[in-house]
Amino acid sequence: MSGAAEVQTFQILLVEDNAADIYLFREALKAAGLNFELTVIENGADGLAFARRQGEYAASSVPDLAVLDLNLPKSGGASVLAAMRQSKDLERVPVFIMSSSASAREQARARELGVERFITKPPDLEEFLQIGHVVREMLLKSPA
Amino acid sequence: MVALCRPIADTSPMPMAGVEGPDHIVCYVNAAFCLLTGKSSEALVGNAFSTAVPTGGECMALLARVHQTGKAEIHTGQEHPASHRFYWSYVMWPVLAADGRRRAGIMIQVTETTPFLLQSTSMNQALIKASMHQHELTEEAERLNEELQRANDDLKQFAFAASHDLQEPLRMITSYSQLLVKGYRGQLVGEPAVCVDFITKGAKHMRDLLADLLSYTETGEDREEADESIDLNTIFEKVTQNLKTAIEESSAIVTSGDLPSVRGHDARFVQLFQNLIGNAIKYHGETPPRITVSAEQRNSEWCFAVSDNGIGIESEYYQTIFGVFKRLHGNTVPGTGIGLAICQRVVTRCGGRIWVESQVGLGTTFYFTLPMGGGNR
Repeated sequence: MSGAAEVQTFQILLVEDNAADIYLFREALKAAGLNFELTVIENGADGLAFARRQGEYAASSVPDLAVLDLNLPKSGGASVLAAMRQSKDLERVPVFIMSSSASAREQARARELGVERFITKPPDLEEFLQIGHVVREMLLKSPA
Repeated sequence: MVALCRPIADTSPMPMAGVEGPDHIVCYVNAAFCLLTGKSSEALVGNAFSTAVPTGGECMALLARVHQTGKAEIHTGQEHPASHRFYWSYVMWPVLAADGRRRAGIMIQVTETTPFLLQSTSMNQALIKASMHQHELTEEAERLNEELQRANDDLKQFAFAASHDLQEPLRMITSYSQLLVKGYRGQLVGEPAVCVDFITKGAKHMRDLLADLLSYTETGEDREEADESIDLNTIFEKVTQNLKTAIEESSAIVTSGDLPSVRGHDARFVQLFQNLIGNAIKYHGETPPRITVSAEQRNSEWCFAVSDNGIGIESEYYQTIFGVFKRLHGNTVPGTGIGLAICQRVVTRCGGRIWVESQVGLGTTFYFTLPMGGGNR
């Protein structure tokens, strides 16, 4: 394991409306031994505002990784992803979709828009905690 | 005029009369005409045609026209004298004298059309009635169709809810009970440990049920695309491959005769054969399972048999076992009880039937039929 992960603090954005999943995600990051700052956006409309750098998000720092849920209130994760891909600041941010839906159509659509990983939220706790390691891998691989 | 009429009209079964002059005085009537009018020849001859017969103005106008133009006329419209309630139609034509130039008079042939008219009226009424009935039937069929469509849509929505919305809270229950166990490792003993264990197992079972229910509802969804010719020998190979572990663990011998090709959807036939063969392995007796799959032609369909030497099924459960989530063995044998319900759905969607015959302790045979038409063997 690289030592870089222990030293560097990663900026991670999570767009997710389910409080239980936010908690589990944080646990997964901790279990992977990452130093992280997690920004949580709990609905699609705010997610879009973030992606478009509007309002309170105008001066937000660019995250090292964005994790999006697809089924969000107000506006879906796919729209947030599309908006990010059109933003000069955010287009290169690696995106990881974490969805409760495993529909092949949604996965295909997300891949078209360019996502690094697509994970169906696993019902098993240990599997869910593995997501932390996936995040760690992606962060250490990315040039930022 | 009378001499001209006689040779043609005397023996004619059609009622005929001859008239002369601008007042259309009757000079000749045949026997059929007398019969039709109910008047004697004496009562008719010498009188104006308008007074001799109960005709309306339309007929007289026609007669005047023939007199004027010298051309034949056919009156297809029916006279309708209110006092008689019968209907006549007329054919009128000028008769030339022996010299072939001078007009001798007008010949009138009458046809009683009352029975035709009544018949056509009653036929019309019957037609109207039939078409109204047809219309009602069509409306009823449309209504039933709409109802069916609605029920189907409801089922689809339910399937979606089962697969997504219901899975979510379940995932929370599973993850967080596991998190509880993890957090209290070593401290969670006795009753609390048992409680958490039940929560976890219950949630897992519910997850399996929902997944199976979804699979069951999806079985009916692919009717349109399901029109390929499927070689069931290939399906059999695939199924035995899928069940490889179970076959090896139970030392089962699974054989098949030559199977035909049928029309349908390959994934559904895999479900069908895998559930039947899988069950035959699962419910085996003391000896290793021996399972045979065969097909034979019966009339215009294929009849398949999947036979085993397993524990058998009591006849009182022959119907029950095809119900959704119906099981005969509780938790001693794993499963949710959806397999045979799926089999039944696959077979009936193809237009076939499925049934079981069994002898407790000796074995079971599941039979099902599928329509022919998937190509030759």
